[in-house]
Amino acid sequence: MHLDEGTIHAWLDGALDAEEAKRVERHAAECGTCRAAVAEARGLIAGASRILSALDDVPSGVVPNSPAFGGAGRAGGPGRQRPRSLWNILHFTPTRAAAAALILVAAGTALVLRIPPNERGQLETTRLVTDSVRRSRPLSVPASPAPAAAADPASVKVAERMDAAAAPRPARAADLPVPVVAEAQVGRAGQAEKKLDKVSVAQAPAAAMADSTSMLNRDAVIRDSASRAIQSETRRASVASVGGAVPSAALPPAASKDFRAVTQLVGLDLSGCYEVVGGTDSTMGLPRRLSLDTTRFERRARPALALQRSASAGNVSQSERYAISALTSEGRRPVEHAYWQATGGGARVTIENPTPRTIQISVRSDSISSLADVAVSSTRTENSELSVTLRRVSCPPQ
Amino acid sequence: MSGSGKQIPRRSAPRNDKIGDQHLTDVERLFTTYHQPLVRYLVRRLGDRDWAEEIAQETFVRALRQEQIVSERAWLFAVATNLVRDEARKDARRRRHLELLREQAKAEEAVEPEPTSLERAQEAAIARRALECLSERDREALLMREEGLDYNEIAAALELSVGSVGTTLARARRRLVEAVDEMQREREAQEKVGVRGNHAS
Repeated sequence: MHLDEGTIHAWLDGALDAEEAKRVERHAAECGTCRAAVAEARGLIAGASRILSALDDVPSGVVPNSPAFGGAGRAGGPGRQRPRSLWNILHFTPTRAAAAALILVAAGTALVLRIPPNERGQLETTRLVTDSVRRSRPLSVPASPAPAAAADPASVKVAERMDAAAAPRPARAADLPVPVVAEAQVGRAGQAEKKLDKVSVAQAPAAAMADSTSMLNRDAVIRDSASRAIQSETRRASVASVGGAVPSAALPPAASKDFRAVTQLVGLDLSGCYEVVGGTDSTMGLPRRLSLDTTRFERRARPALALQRSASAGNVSQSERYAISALTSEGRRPVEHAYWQATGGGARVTIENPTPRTIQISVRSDSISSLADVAVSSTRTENSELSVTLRRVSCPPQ
Repeated sequence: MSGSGKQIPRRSAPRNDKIGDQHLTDVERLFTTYHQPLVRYLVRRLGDRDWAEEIAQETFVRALRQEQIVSERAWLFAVATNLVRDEARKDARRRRHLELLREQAKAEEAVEPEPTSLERAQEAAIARRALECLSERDREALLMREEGLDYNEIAAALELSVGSVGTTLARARRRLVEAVDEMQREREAQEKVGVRGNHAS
């Protein structure tokens, strides 16, 4: 009768009493099969130890301490209670805020950026919202400086420099009537406290609400680091918003149909040129002026493991990686360590160097024309706020 | 077969009003003796040092409240393990996702940086994923064994029979090693594909 594996391990671990150990030893000396099994077990014990020691080099702060994650991140021991802010009480996460924004049908462009934590304490939640909403300006018309941009000397300058050779927006978009019924304001840059976004609704189509909710559920798909976990929350939030915040003002019956077309369109194409025009000290690793290109991103060396992992992480790996260019006065310069991918309803920018981060761009709601003029504001959750504004600009000639 | 397992409470009884000096000294000794291995166990189990430290701290706080602890090390590891389980249940999915993202970022970060750190990050990522392949019980038994707990202590902490600890550990080690082997094979295969792809382009 051969030794069973458990006994061999117990013996090698010194867990058997003297008599039992002696018996095992004798048997192993006589039986070739068991001797081999003992050798194998030694190998497994050493191998397992070695593998586990690879886990010791672990950075802290993997789980962010952020209300964006329900505040439960490292809240840790059951004895520890986090003070409940209004944010917590309302279960109002940035994703939900964005979801609520979508409910304001055909409102301004609302895009949500989120930077997942890939470094200690680094979690930034970024929100893209329309800077200005302009009625029915056809997208196929190359952008001249937007009304809002006019107030901003920097963007005017850029708009002049980058002439009208811009890549035209999808022609389909131009034909859509754009009901501009609401306006979403995002908490201003630099405010130390996280605030719920104030949303003022001018008019909102009651009929469109139901439609928009279903649109939301489809469109507000996985976009950010924690989206899988909070997806269902998003749905609940959207329903709540419909039930609560939105007045049932009358709107043209066509609104919901248009809205559907709008959201479908908006998700498709965020390629084009942008400029960082406002905000605080950082551009979040983005070039001052950049283009989300339509050419493929090519990397010199590809870490196979990363690919494997992102496949298991979920949805984005399937989408193609496209290049990002910095726009300089000399022309376009490809950004080597960054790429963007189209996702379900927006885009994801990945910056690999020098500070690795992922910026998730999600389209929440939009009037198409406002795509030409997009503002980004962002929130950094570690007690400081960071805000960046991106404005869509015409692309320079190739 | 020690019966100490039965004496380990799943939940400690509060005794806030009765923390005497002697008891504090005992807990201090517990802390200096077991804090390090306990944190290492938790880091390996959780993949996050801050989180591990917090759980360890909570474990010692509970030790403070505990009137009497039989089989100290097994008690500490059992309480820590239960705390982890309680919390892990709450948001396992979320953590896993974050962890994957973090490791992905870590691996992608090193397009150029020193190959050793990339190598290490990849090893850690593989080890973490392989460890996740194990059942909870196997994983905990193995990690406790690595911190030097003997079979009686492991049995007590995990409420197993001592006789089954050997089998549990054997299974855990085999699965872990096999999972890592398999992942490394996959990785090499992918690297080959990558190299070929690069040549082609």
